[in-house]
Amino acid sequence: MPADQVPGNGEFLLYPNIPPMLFAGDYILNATQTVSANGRTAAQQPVDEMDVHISVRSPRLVLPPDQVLSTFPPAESEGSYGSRLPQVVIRRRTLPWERVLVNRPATPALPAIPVNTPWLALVVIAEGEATLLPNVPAAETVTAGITLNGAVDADIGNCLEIRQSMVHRIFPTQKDVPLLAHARHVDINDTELMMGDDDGFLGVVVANRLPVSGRSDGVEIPVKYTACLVNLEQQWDTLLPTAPPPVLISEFVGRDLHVALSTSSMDKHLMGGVTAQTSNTARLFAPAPNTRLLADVQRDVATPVQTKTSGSFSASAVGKGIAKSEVAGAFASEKLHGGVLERFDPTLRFPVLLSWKFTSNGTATFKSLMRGLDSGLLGTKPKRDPVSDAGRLPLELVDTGHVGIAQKTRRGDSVRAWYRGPFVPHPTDDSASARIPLAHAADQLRVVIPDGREDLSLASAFEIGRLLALANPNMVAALLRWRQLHYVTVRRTTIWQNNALFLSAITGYTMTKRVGGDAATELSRAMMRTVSATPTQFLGGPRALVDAGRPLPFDGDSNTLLARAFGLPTLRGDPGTVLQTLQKTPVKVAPITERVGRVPGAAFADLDRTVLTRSLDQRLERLVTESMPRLGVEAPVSKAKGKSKSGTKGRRKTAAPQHDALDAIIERLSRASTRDDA
Amino acid sequence: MNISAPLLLQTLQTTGMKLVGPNVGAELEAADLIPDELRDWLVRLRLLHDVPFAYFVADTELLPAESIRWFYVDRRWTDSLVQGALSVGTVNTDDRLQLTDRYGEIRDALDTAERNVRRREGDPMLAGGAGPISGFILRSRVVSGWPALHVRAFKEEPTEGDGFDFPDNHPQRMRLLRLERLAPAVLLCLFDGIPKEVHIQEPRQGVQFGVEQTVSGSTMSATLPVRRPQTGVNDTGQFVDVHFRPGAPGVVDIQRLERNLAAKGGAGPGPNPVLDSAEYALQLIRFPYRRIYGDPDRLRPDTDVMLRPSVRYVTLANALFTAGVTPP
Repeated sequence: MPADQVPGNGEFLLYPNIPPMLFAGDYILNATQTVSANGRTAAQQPVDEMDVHISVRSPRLVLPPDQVLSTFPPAESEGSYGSRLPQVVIRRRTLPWERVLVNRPATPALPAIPVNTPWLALVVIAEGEATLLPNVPAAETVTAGITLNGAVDADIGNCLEIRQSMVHRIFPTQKDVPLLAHARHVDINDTELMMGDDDGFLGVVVANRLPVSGRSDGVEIPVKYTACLVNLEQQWDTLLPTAPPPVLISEFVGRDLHVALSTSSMDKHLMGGVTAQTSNTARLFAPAPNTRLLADVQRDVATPVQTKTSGSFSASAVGKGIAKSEVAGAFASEKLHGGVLERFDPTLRFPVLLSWKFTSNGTATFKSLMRGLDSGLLGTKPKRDPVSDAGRLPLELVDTGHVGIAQKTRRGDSVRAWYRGPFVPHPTDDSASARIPLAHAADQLRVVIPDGREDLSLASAFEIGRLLALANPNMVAALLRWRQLHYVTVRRTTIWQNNALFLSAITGYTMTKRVGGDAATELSRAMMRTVSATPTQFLGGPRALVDAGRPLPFDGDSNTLLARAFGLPTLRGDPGTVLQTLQKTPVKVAPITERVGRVPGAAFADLDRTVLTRSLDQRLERLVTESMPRLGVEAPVSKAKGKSKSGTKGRRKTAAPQHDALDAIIERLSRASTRDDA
Repeated sequence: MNISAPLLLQTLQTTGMKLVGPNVGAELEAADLIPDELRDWLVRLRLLHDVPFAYFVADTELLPAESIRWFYVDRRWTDSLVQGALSVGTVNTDDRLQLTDRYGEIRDALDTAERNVRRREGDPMLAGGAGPISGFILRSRVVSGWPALHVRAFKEEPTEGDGFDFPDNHPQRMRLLRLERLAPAVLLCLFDGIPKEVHIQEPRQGVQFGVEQTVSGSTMSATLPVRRPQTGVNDTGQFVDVHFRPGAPGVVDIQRLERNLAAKGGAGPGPNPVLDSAEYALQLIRFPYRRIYGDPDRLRPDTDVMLRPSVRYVTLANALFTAGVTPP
């Protein structure tokens, strides 16, 4: 394993191949042991052999999505890929070398396959050159008559159905395949390439075909390509052993990519190998099956193909580079000669582990386009093209970047005016003094220059700015709101400023130039702060802790003072005797019941008591039920006068046996009332 | 409270009360500034968002196909644009007086906001007035064919070599105020200043394999520069032709290419000059191409002109605009 070298920052290392220790397949690990002892033979001491079965598994028909690190060109993308070879980067570094291509003895006709030959190839197929069949049972993903030995990894897979002749045309040759796969060790810190890979080793398979775009009569047309990672197992010998004599130029895919093959000419081709096809296209795409497939390319062509049912080869078409299509004839020929075709040009199937589509558009490369760019300041006079600019007035362009444009004045005159956009071909003066003052209407920005014509540049800018603002209701609303806010502020400021001195003095609140909407809040805050800092100034001193008592007048003798205090007219006699007498005099204390009894009328007293009792009962009951609902006290309802007591008693039994103050009051009231009644 | 202000004032003065007020001036100033949404929109307008393309380039001949046009942005034009937007809803003289009163302040706020438009997260806010803005319009198939082009502008010519990948916080990098495709094949770019050098680079999409293509008419040929296998640098000056398989558009004769590369010294050290797949891949790797625009007199290879003046503006300005440079 190549592990002695590590790529530096931004570097990567390339390896021709990293073959696995074991190819995919089933293995039996067999261990034998011989025991020797004195006087005994090995046969006398047999040790059982032990077989350990090992199955090395590897993707065969389907490449798990997590094994694909990246593809180029990106799937479903469109771009100018004509000078780039498609590639797929696989996470498992050993994958391209994990399988044995074919087990067969080497013969002079079929030489042995070199070691470390990849079993995978990335082929790029233009639209119509072959058919990608999705979801085919595993056994049918290979050409009929071929079986893949060993376990397959999926029940269904995709396969590529392609004619033998097309394999010879677009598949890599046997010599190419080993060159098209390599392993790469990328810098572990190169996060863009890493994307979660753990060791930085990757397997890469490169295609052998540049996905050139189409071109017809000098007009570029996009061509759809499908890149397929195909499994070459057991079908190695269908590939060309070596490449045919090469050419230095490559054709583009033609627009009218049809084969001019009549039934008769094809018969000749198939039977006798006639090379009398004079059309260039026929040289490119000789055999018949392409006819049907290539006809699909016409999907991109706007003009419908004129099909002819007659089978004769159009003589006029021969002279042209591209022959007229005779699709219908070709279809007929394929139907007619399907069996013959199959014998001479069999249909092959290759399992496709991964496929993606992309569109190649244009032949220009980034470099060629960028080098060909015409670079200059805006206002550089372009080279006039006499063909496309024919009939056009010459562009009126001055070196300041102004162009002359036709203007219809408000009076209806057609005149020429000057215009220059925001982009000018010379440095501008951005100092504050050079900035234009505010204009309120576009007409303020119209300038008449000395040649008598108007320069409408800034007026146009004003007007388009106004229109853009009006086109955006949010902005109009924001502008108006802001303006309104300004008016409110000004008004508020004016009012407050009139009282600024007073407010400043009373609260320390300094008026700013503009008073915002929260001025009242700020002012009240300032007020509170000031008041709490010096409360005596605003709210007065605090209340004294002790109030002075009433002065007692001592303006007579003791009898007089005592009499006044008791509310009596006079008290006569010796002060000592008076005091003693007062001490001995009993004071009548009326019990509370007597006061109740003193309410005029016994009925009233009874009513009072009943009402009081009942309301107290109700309150108590509600209190108890609300505070202790879990006791399950059935809330007694006082339906009648007499029931209330029993209800209360019932409650006591269940809930609160304690005799509390409230009970005492009620009982006393009950007793007193009974006595009064008696 | 039924108390007259002068009386209370007199009372307070005689009692000698000292009052300390809260500092609320700053908040109040902010309350009446231009609202954020309005400011952001006006800044977008100043960077010419939503402005119809015909207002940029008044005539197609100013921007022919496959061209790049450099320019400076005219502040007077963008100011007029903003003034037009602000004029919406100014009905009477009061409105206009008020707008005139506030205009200077608005312009300063926009100048500052404009510089911070493409500020990266976490960078300090930039202050100060509006500097010059320059930029380019690129009309080419590179815009449509290579989405996500890298555009980098530099305040000074960077000293790093071609292989250097300039990070975003490179000290010489100049901020882009706008980089946007106006049409599928038209790219507008605005720089926050006047750059000394601009790089336009092919988007990086990982390592690619490919050849150098030459198109002639309806056919295509290709060559491949030979890299020195030990260093990986194509300094050999040698090119090999790429051969194609006849009858199959684009199919490369890999075997022939390998032999040709081996013959031109592309094979690694070993007894027989044969390329293995790693050496072959090394020869095919293509790096993203970078086009440099700057001062061609600096003798930097492969540099094209950028903002080179072609006319003396002063003379023209004197001749044409003496009377009309500043509107009344």
